[in-house]
Amino acid sequence: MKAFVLFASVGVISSVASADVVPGVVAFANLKDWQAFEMDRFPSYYTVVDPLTGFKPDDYSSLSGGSGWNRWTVTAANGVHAGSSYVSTQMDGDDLLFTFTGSTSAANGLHGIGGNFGFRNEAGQFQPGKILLTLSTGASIVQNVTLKTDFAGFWMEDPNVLITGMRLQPLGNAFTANYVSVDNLYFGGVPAPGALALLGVAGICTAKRRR
Amino acid sequence: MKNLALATLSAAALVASANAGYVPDVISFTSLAEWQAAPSDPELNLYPDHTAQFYTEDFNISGPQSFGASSFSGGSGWSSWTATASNGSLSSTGTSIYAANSGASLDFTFTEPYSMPLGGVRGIGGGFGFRSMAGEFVPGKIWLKLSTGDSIIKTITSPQAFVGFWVADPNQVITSIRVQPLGTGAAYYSVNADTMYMGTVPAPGAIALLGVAGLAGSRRRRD
Repeated sequence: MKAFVLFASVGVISSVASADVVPGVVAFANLKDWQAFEMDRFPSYYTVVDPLTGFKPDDYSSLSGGSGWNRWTVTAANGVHAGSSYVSTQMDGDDLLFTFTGSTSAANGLHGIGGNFGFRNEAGQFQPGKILLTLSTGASIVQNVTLKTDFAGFWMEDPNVLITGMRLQPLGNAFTANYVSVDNLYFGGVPAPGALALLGVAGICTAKRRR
Repeated sequence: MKNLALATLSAAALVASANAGYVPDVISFTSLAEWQAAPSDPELNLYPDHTAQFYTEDFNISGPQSFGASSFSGGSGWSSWTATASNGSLSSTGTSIYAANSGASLDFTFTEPYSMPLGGVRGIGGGFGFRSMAGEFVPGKIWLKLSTGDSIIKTITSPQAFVGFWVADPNQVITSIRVQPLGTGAAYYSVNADTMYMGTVPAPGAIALLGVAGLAGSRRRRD
């Protein structure tokens, strides 16, 4: 009976909390704007950055990193390459495909993703170029990358929608003899409102029991 | 005020990698040149074998009705638009429109009937930002929201900055767009639109109808 009351309360709080929210996907072309969205919209969430420095420079069929909710795997049609601080395709014209399988729970899943994307030449040097970044939700952004620090990313407005994958597709002639690459990956996770309410109600019940 | 242009979309074969992985349904752009080239870009392959149509709105609105209006309207046919402000009225400088109150959003709605799939407004973009009381450009952050739920947040640093979208899914259409001010600029300055670019991809039936109408017209002239 206690459990029923608990979950009924959570349901009401969740629907009220999301009543004025239009679910969608927000695209960003600037890291500061992406980070500010976190602070403005979801102050309870957390972000981490993976500098991609943990791999021995070599060619691989796939690479994985992160842990828990931000675990990722990257593949490409002809394999991937790890540099000292980046990951790229082994073949020019190939896409980089990321999958995020760390969590299937909205409470602890991936809701924001971004990175410093671009191209690398044979010598591993950064090259400018045009990229189409597409999420598993279908939201996309075309970015003309000119600097190594250029950023592109997304946030889910609806805390119940998870990001499960991302594709980096090279566009234009820039990818000829260059390989689409990523230098830093930024991850954002947002506790779902239902989970927060659940924690709050559980906390109240615990405090009441203590008294 | 009206600058109508046609662009023929390429029927080039889809590159092998384009269908690998995830498929775009709404694509965001931060470059006008890339937005304009997108419908005929074989790599994006938005609408192969169709012809995109463009319309540019420069907000050439003048006269007594250009200040403190409840709404502005423009365009024609598929490009018909109506603009309102979320809080209060809106005004025109003769080359742009702006919300009269700081903090208010600019809302554009596109209510011309269309047939699906294709038709309707499928591409939208423009020069959006903030203006001071003196009418000067002010940098600031805006949130451009489509009726599809897709949006982009961008800090605008120059009057030439562009943000826009193309809908890649033939079963989706843009029925409205909101320009929402964000950040500290929202408290002091009005959000404005300098230029708005719109795009459509008419349904094949509509193109055939136009062709038949053209043939009938030329036959009548010959008679």
